[in-house]
Amino acid sequence: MSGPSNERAVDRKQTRGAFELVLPSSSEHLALVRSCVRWFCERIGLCEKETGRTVLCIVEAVTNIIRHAYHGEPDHTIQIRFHEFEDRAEFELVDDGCGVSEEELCPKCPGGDETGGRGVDLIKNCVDEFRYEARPEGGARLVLTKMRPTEESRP
Amino acid sequence: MTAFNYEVTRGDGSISIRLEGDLDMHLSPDLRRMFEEQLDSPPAEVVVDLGGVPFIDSSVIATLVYTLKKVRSAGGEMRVINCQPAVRDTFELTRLSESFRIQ
Repeated sequence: MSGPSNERAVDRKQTRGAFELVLPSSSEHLALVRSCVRWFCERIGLCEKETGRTVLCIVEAVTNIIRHAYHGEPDHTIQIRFHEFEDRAEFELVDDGCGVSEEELCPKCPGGDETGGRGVDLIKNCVDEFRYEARPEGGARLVLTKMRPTEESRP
Repeated sequence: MTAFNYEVTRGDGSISIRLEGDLDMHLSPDLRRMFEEQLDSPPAEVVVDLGGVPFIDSSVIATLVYTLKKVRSAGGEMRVINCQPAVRDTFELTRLSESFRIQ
């Protein structure tokens, strides 16, 4: 992980800190993604259940980039930026791939006997906010927001 | 050779497959291959024991759904047992707990 990054996808005035993980677009690095996300979730005080859901949704997002934005080609780059705010965490995933269609972003919920199509549904169910945008220079940016627990919400 | 551990126990009309390790998109092709080899002629009862699996993603869910369909089309039934909390939560998020008779 490297130190704070410079692009302005999030409101940096309020940020308490940011870390960046830059990966090749290969599924063999998913274990590293899980470890880093778990470490960050523990740092911001998420409970075990919400940590598990956050790890799942970031893995699903990286998997979607590998599959759909880069068509499984392993020689591209995926950036994951971890932003810590007082009230929330934002995970910003940036790629240089071909983007995804609106249909892929808003899938119908698959039935019990359908094998695929659950990734985006899982991501949306695991975070508090989902923002996807095409980048003018190519590729896409996905920002996933997870609210930090408050005193009232802690079990 | 697969990059995850599994153990197979065969009984009279049944098979139990115990898996170990985090399972994700990287391993799901090996997982599917293992199921196809072990369940070439599936018995009436197939048990997938996920007690040693702390994490699964949607690619693994897809592999399990594919396997469930194959087992049912051969007249058998499949259930998933010993799910750890995060894995159970993933099944619940995908609304598949009942399909797999999660225990």
